Amino acid sequence: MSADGVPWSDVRRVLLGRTVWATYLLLVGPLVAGAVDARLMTPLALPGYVALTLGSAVGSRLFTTLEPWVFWAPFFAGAYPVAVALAGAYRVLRGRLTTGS
Amino acid sequence: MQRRRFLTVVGGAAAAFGTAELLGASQSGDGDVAADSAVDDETSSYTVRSGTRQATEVFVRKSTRDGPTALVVGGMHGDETSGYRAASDVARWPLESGTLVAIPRANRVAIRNDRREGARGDLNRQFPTGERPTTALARAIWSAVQRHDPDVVLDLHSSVGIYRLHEDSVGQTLWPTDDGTAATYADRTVAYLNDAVVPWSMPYHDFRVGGALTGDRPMLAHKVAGDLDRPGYIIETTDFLLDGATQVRWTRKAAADLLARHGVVPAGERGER
Repeated sequence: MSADGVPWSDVRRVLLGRTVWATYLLLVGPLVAGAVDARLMTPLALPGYVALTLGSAVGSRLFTTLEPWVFWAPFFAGAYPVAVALAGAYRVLRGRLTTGS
Repeated sequence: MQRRRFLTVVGGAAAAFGTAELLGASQSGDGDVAADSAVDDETSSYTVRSGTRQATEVFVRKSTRDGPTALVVGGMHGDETSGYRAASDVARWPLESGTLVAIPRANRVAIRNDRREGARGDLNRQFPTGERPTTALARAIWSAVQRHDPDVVLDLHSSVGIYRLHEDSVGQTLWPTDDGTAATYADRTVAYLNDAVVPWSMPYHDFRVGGALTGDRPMLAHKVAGDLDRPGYIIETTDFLLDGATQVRWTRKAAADLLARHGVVPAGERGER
């Protein structure tokens, strides 16, 4: 049990579950593939592409000495909470649909 | 016009079969330009700054069909790999018309060191308009420009970021000289690139046209504008989210399209899709 009485297994599932990693890979994987070879830049990469490009644009203005590629690091880190949130939303939606049916 | 030509049977054969290796050129592999052997033209080369660490080759390719002369420079900055790789490819393009002069690796020392600057600083800040270039290498390059008297000059570069998106970056931009033709052709080439080359799923990588080069900065293309009053362009791609091969390919596409618009037509390559 965690301090709030929530089972650790639930915490682990919310933060590290398969849905979380699948979502994370979906956000990051297509963009990494596209960056390795632009011919692999598919529309699947678009969310990551927009996030990284705009994020690096803001970052390069805040930290003018940094080159844009540096912002891959916050992108990789930032994609994780987004993946947790999306995976959580997916679980809630799936739960409701299951209950409804 | 003074021209030193070294066209021989051996030289021709070397150009046909071995130039890519000599240049350390990247593989085209995407059908940009037709096979060398299909076109009957003559090639030659010579070396500037011979006998020094800065020695670099100038390649001259002349089509049997008369036409304008274009000069393409790469490697002004040694850490802008796609610029000199693309220029090395351009140097071996067979032509349908015109003459192509290429200095693919202008700043050998900078390239060897993978640094922007060479032995005497930033080469592309050594071409003041209305004055003598400030270093021996810059003077040698400018002498080549004067010798071949080009109708258009292309200078191939790359940047870490994207112009107007990333601070102090100029990537994905064509900068034309203030010659009216150059601005018009740059607009058309940018439209072609964005339509046919850059994937729609990379909207921030669309090319744009930069402000006119007027001769007010000591850069090669500026000097072309200021001293020669000829069309010239700086082509800048970006390293950001682009692999090296794609940067080279996009640079080549931009160069081929601009050259074709100026009447120097690479065989198998058309400006329009």
